[in-house]
Amino acid sequence: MFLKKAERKAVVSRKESLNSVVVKNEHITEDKKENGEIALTVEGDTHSLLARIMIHVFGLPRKKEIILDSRGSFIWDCCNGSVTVGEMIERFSEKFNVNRKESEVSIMHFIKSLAKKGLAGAVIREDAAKGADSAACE
Amino acid sequence: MNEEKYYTFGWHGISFGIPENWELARETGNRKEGSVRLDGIYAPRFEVAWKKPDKHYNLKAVFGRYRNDVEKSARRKGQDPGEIEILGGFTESLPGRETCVFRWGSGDPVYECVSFCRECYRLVFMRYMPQDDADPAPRAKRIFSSLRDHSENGDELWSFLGLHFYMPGNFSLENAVLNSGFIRMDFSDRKETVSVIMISLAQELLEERDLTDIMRFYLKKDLKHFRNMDFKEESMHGHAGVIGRPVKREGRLRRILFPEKGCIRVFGWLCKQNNKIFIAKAFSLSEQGLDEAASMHAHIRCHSCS
Repeated sequence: MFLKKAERKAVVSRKESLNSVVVKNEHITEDKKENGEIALTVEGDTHSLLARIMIHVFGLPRKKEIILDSRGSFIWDCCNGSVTVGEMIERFSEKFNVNRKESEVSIMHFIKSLAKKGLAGAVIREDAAKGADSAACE
Repeated sequence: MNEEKYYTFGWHGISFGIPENWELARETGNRKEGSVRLDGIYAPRFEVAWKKPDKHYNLKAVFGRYRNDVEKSARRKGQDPGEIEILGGFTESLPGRETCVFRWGSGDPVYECVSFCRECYRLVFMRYMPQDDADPAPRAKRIFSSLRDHSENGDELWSFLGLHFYMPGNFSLENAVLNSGFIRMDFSDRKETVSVIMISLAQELLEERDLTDIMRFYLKKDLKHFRNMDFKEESMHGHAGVIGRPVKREGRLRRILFPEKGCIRVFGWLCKQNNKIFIAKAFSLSEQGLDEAASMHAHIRCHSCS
């Protein structure tokens, strides 16, 4: 009665995750610097009364800036909704001369941290998932 | 049709040839008993487990038990084990071993091999899981027949994410950090210890600091008793490298008060072809042992032609 029914986590197969695409949060502004690094500016929550009070009392910044290094900027550029995670891995390993598995682990971790911070999200494309089943990639 | 490229994978003295895009995904255990799993791009493809058999060893009994386990676990997972078909003529190229190869499962059948070597006295279980492979039987045959469960010359192959090297069989793996971008494996032979480190994205790292600084940073704990190290530039494996040796303490009294705790030598080089930094550390209690341990850096294969 008082016990909450455990929420079922959606199980995403490796095929699906590699064929998904990453889309950026539209509310984020990005600024490309001369050295190729990208600075992301995230607007803080200023709509709620509590947030406004906190900003006034503690002098919290209204905007948050995240600077991505050359590797992060490269992945961020690929997050345009058309490049799949699998393609991203291939491009990254080619550009930085890294083993495929190494770049897969690093990119997956990076995408997860982007999603946690609300900067981007992964979209599983239905057509891509179906296509992946039929394609003999190995 | 392009022929598939294979490479030799090795772990705890067991080695076999596998397709280029399979990589180690999980490892457990030690030399006596353990397992590894190798994944392809989308799914697990190959599993190997090894152990020392009981005193009253009998391959038929081992195979019978293994077969029952396979059937049970398949049913538990909701798979249809189908009929178990024993395949002959699969491993003629494995002399001195007792082997049994079989295939089970409906749909994509799973290929299994149980092998026992009297020389190293180890039982090896191999499982190949084909995933939409056009012709899995020749591939299974090629992998199973390439099994080597002990080395002929005593040097054992270790490989992980592009790091391949040979280590004498008397050195056992003590500690391993297997991260993407940073790999460190420490081996020990009671008196001598050898550490092998591989760091990815080398060019990007070297923009901020030089090779000596990187070596000092990653060997911070190892060099804490050797404060004065002398790093000299030297060519290694055809690349620009650095060799570090401790500077002998001046003054007899100093040497008596602060005696050196063993001998150390460190090697580091940048492989531009792979964009990786390789570091090898050899430590020994005696100068003679150090020379032997230090020679092991030559067995690291940093790129395909070395």
